[in-house]
Amino acid sequence: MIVNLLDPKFFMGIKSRKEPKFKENIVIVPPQVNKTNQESIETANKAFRNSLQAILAANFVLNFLMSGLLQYLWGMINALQMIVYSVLFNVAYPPNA
Amino acid sequence: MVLITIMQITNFDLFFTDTIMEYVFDFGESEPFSAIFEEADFETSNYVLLAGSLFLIAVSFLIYAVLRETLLWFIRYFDTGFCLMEKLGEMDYVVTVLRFLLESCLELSLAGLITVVKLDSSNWANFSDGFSTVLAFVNLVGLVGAPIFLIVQAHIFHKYYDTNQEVRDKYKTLFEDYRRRSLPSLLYNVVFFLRRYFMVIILIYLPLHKNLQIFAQLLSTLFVMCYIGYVEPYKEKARNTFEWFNELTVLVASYALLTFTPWVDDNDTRYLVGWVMIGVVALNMVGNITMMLVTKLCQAVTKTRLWYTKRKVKADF
Repeated sequence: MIVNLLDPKFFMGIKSRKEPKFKENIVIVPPQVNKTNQESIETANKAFRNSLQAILAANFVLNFLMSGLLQYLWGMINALQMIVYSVLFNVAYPPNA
Repeated sequence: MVLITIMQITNFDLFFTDTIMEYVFDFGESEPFSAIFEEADFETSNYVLLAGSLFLIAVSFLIYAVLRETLLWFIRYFDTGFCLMEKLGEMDYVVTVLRFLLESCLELSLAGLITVVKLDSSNWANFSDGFSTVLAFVNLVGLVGAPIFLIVQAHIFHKYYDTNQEVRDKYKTLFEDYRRRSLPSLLYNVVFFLRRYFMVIILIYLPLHKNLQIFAQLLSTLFVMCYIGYVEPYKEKARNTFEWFNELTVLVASYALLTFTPWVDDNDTRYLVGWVMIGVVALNMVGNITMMLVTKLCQAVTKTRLWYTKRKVKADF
């Protein structure tokens, strides 16, 4: 977190009791959590990011499959299913088919 | 055999399902339904193993749906990240599940019925086998329920479309491809389901009656061809024509089956007809893929023309 100090005169060093000198009145505050908690947050963040990526990828694939463009592909698969399942009929197929 | 290879593609058998199944489940031994089924890669009577990739696809979709809905709930609850919501877009689960059932009903109904017909004590030997058997029953109930659900929805859509806005919005995606004024058009998917169930019942309950199997296939194909020709279920004429073309290829391939019975003794003739069958399958594939590419090309040309005209109009002003 970056804190922009409008008036640094209000601050005083704990030990020196003097007005601290800030560079361009900007203070970078480190995360106010202990190391263990920070690691857990990072792990959770990583898991969330991976899940989000998976959802977006799956969403893209599903939208593509459900789009109107593939209607002929589904038609082809449906017809081929009816033909290829005839191999389960009690007939003697030639070796080439 | 060429047809068995194509069968793996039409069944979406694209993953290493056996390895994954072995890792997750502990299935006992189970016998195949018959020698013919065993030859066609139906080597077991276990539902999950027979369903294979379709089972994995269904589980993946379930995980996806849960994750998606959780994410959407978080967005609504914390009132943030609405750009992500826009990116995810809308998802009609009913249409997606119905599309999955339509494409997989043949394999799933066959797998479910094989498990039920071969039901014995080995089906309950351990947790994995029991889970698979229960899933087979649930699947069969779902597959029987799907056409009933569609009949009810088609009836509601047809009856209340003109008077009820809610009905129009709710079933917009479910019946968007069909001629909404005609009830038989809206019921085309029901015919699609029933025809496949008819084939599966013939395969399971009359496994040795070769002539009956072939004639059932021929008559059901002829019936569907008449249905498409008379009802013209789709809005687009090209789609009706191509659906009819697809059925024609099934009919020609079914007639070829007659030569694989004792009616024809000559092996050379059978071999020749085998090539005819491969040719018919190839023709079907080439026709559909060409049509798909042509449609996409036409869409791209129209979009480019529109973009060019808009740009020109903007430049003129």
